[in-house]
Amino acid sequence: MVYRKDYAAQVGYSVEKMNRLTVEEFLDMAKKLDWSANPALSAYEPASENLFPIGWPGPDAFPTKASVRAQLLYILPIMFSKVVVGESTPDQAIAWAENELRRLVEEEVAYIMIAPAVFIIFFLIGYPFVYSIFLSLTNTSVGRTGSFVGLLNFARLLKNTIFQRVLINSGIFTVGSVTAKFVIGLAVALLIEKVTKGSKFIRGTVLLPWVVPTSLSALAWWWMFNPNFSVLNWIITCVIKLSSGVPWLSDAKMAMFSVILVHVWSGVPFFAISLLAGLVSINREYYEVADTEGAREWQKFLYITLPLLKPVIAIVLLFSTLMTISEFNIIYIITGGGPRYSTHLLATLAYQEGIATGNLSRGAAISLFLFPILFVASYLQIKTVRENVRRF
Amino acid sequence: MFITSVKPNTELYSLEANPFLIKNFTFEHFKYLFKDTHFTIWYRNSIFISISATVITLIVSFLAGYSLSRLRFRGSSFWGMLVFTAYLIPPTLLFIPLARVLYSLRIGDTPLALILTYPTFIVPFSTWMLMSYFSTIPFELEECALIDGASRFKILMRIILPVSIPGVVTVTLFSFTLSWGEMIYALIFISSTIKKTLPVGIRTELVRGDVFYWGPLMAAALFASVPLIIVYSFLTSFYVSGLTRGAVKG
Repeated sequence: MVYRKDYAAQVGYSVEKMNRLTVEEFLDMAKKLDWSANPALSAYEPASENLFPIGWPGPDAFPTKASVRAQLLYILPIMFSKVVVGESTPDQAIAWAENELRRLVEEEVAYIMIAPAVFIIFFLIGYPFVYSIFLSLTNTSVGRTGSFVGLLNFARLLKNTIFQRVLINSGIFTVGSVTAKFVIGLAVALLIEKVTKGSKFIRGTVLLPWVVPTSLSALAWWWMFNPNFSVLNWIITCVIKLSSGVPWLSDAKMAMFSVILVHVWSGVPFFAISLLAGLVSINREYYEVADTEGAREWQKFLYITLPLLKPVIAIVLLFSTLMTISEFNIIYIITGGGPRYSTHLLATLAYQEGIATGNLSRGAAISLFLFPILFVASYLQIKTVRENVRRF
Repeated sequence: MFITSVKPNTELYSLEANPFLIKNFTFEHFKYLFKDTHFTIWYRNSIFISISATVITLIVSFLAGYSLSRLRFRGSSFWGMLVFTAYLIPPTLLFIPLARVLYSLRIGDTPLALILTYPTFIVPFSTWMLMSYFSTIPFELEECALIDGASRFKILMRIILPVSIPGVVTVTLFSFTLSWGEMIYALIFISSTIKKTLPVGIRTELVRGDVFYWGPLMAAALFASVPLIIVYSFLTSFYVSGLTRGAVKG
């Protein structure tokens, strides 16, 4: 058995130095070594060339020279040491070194590939987010650099009756929309799954509200809600023969109902498709067993479909809650928050205060009220995702 | 939308007429839209901005998705979670500080402002979706190529890209649609009329005070939705399969 200290003694290096050789020193050592003394080791003389993993374009081709050198520095001495101290056979050491080099190269490629995404996340999401917290703690407005005021903005907002109204609106809008979207979406998904004929056409139709962005479809809804000249009230007055049309947007409660209606219309496809995907992935055998046991349709739904669909339902509900509570387009286009703040949500109020009025710090504070909800929902969602990942 | 856009004003604003019927077919709204408004310019802006944002998103999320799902490196699960968290932050939370950032970079009121910020809400989702998509591709495909001496980038372009076309198409469509319909950022970061995108232009410039231009408004909304509807009607099956394989698992 040849030991590392024997090599060290041969070339006059200390053992510590053996662990921290430069490429040149390493090659120097390799030259000075009496390879013939141990025929098993002589096979590794050209190792420094062969060590590059397959697919690796060579030390000069891709990352920096320095990084390659660092890799050589770290891997080669350890590889030799492993053999020399008798920890592993030469073949194992080579395999280890190759794997290690491959991992390092992969790591470097991975970092380069992920860099743009990380840049976007840090500078265009992370930084603005921190900046908005900073803004909300000052009294900055357009054209005026503010000074630090602590939590004053938040305290004032909570006492403000308009803001309280907006918080309640957001609650009603979110709970109402998400519940309706879930029920209708599930019904549509079950329906699509049962219907085999013309499923392509049905799927396409169901997708339509999702394909057309709300910023455009809301315009059409806006027109339909027109009290005097448009379709909805024409049907009500001329076809159903009710005396007066419905004040879709001018009455506070009706206005809230109308925007929820539009939001649900545009959000059902997402639920339907996601739940459909979940439905399709349920193993048929459960239903077959249930059939032989004589289970009814609703029993199968309640005891097989729903429990197995739970992970998908959880994710879709949480995600939809986030998207619903931060809704902007539909409100901005159809009601602009009116009448009398009855349909304003956090996002539209933040826009009105922060941009239209120019009170930046107040606007930032309003949007930050979204954060606790986002935080809880994200936490739950990440938890669900992790559990699912573990399960599959 | 279509009916309203081809009806003359007199009929549009009559109280007795059946709104589903058209008596006198007219193109006057379209003519007005294309001649007397900036509609065509907004259309061009929207196309340019959406395509640029989509291209950026695709490159960024394709690379990130591949490295997060396929390469072994320290902290990969951390970065994965970071992307996921970013995906949960809506634009509504960020528009005020972002506006400040863009203006301090002197790119407020330019197309660049939107091209740079649109990926912020598309990249996290696209990355996440492509990650789940990549994980369905068998490792053997890559290993064969690695043994044949291909570099990672070659593998990415020649092997991964072709087999993940459905996923890429889904992400492309998704990204284009989101950019096309985006409204908050476009509303806030762009102030000159001729630089506006379609949704913002239509809502802010075609509606003036109490005089509603319903005919042109509907014509505009219709024209703006047409490209998306055409593309989707061709690619629906692609899209649904891409989504069900990717998104839901995330």
